[in-house]
Amino acid sequence: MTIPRQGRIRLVLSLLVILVSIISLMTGQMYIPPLTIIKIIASNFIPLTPDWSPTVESVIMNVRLPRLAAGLLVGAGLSISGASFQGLFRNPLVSPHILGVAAGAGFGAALGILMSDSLVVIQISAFLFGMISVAAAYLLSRVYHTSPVLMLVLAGIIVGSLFSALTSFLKYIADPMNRMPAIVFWLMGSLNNVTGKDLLYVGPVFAACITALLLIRWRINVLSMGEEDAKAMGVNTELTGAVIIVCATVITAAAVCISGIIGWIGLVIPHIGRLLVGPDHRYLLPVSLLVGAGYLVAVDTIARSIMVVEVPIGILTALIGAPFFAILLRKNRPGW
Amino acid sequence: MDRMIKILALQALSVMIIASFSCSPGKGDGEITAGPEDRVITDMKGNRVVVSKKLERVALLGGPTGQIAYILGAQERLCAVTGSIATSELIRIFDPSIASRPTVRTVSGSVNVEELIKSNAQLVIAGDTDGEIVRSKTGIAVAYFDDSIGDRVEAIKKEIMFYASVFEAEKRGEAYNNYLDSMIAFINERISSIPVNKRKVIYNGYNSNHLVTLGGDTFMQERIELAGCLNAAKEIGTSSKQEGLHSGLGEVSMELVLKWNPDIIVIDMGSLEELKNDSRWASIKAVKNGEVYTQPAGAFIWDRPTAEAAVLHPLWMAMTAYPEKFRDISFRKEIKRFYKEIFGFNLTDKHARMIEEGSFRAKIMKGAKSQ
Repeated sequence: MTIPRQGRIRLVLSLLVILVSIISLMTGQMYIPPLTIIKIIASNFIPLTPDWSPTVESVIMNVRLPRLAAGLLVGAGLSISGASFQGLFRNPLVSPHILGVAAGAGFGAALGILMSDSLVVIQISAFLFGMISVAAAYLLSRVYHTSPVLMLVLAGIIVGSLFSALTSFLKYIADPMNRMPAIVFWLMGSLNNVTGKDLLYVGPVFAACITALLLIRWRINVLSMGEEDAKAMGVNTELTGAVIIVCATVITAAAVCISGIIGWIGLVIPHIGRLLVGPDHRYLLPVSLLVGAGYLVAVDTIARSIMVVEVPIGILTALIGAPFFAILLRKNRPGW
Repeated sequence: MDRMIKILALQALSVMIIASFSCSPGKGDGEITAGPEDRVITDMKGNRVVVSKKLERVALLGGPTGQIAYILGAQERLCAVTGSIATSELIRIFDPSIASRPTVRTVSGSVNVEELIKSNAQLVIAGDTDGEIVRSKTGIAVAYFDDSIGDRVEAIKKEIMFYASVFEAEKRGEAYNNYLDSMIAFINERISSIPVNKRKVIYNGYNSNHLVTLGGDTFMQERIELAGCLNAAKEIGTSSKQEGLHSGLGEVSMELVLKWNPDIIVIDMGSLEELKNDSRWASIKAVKNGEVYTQPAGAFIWDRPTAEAAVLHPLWMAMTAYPEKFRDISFRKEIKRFYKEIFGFNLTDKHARMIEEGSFRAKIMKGAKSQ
């Protein structure tokens, strides 16, 4: 019995993600052997006498594990949202940020940084404004009755520019010594601030939305054939579209609120997925999810290891991803 | 072919001519014409600048150095200032008029030229970038301070004496330098007997995530050593400009801080409670022993190379790390003595407490907004 091609690809990708995760736990500012990692994690469930230093335990439990989990969630979430949006809008240039969620969340974070010193306040503010901006874009698109998808994209651009301008304004009036740099730095994206507690709140949100998108993924195929055809086939396009938008927005806003704005992933990972399994969303979504998760974890491991000072991850995702993507494009011409 | 060569040669020549006109800031002024009402000062780049003997209107475009005018007693002669000094809460308490001076600069490179001209300045003191803007757009004389070295104690002393020569306040400049020297000598006398392996490791965790710090190649290295402590971030270099952070600052990863395992953590934003209750920080020595503190702030934040921080910050660190060596000293009294003798500010106990607790910091940080 042979495993079908789709299944093989998924299996290989899953193994790759696991491998990258293990390497990620081992590497960093200090090397920790795999056996110690296993013992440390196991000691939370079964009684073990520690033969490792509390520092090593704290590095694994409080820094690397939450960071790994956040990398997996954000990478998976952004890529699956990107793949769904590209299907929904029938446009390969769409990223999950298209409806203004990143601009809104960026403004929310900047406002949070101005108003408060607390990370929690900054995160909540980012999440709220991410949701507000997409809601605004959605409502705005309802005002006009022609071609809903096109109007939605345009409304997203309008709302996004508005919030970008507001963010620039906040940067302009912010104290140039501390607050302004903090805003700029935050907007560049980093997984350095993730805590286990964040994941407790954000993790279930990610899981729920990713599951929802996976469950309706065959409908995206129908939607991507065009609105008229989809309606003719009896799919409620409005409802499906709304579910996709809500899930992708919640994922992106949650991602921005724990990691800042990480570009490139949501736009390009779906293309890599398409190169691997073609444009069928039933296969594309799970594969994008795996590629995105593995990719972000790999890049984040590099971000916290190559230099003693942190390299903003947004820079690396593009720096490593772009040439890689160019080579892939050259090798096999993808159909869209 | 010949034509081509000629054109190329002409182009090269014109490039050279243009280059020779626009070469480094402040160089090649040509002859100096000083009238009987003038005097000549030498700025920190070695340029000779002619200024009136009646120098009453000076614009200070330096960031952290704005407070020097108070140290020299020359605040009345400031006609235009930089944002961070005009919004300093502590300065405003003792010199309310500062709030009404025109603010002609926010950060390096953003100078409001019209406002500067309107302020009718006789002399502008600025760093390279701002000075070049003023030179190219106005006819106001510019004296340059050296912002590339304005860091360590010796550089601060040199800078003070340069400003003192501008304002003809050499006595007050020397008074500050003597104060600084005797403070350093005093701290050293108390801490020099502590063996290196008993010295405490300080980690400065700035920003709301407490992961931004000043590395071993910044002024902070010297300042921490003067306090008899060790800089946790000594091994890393942060002096190069990192995008999105103020120069000298760099972000490190949480696991690096865990590896350093400092004895003392100093933060500048956020609450101590929030940090102490964060599981990520729990295994660090400083958190276990309750040695987490908020950095004080006075006229300006102390994690910058300012004149006030050069004197008081090492004392604060030394007293925080080794309280047993300073039982006879009250830090608040030292604060009051310094601002009275050097700034001429009579601080109340409440002001001294606010400086020590860092509560002026919030006001410095939010100052730009309330404008």
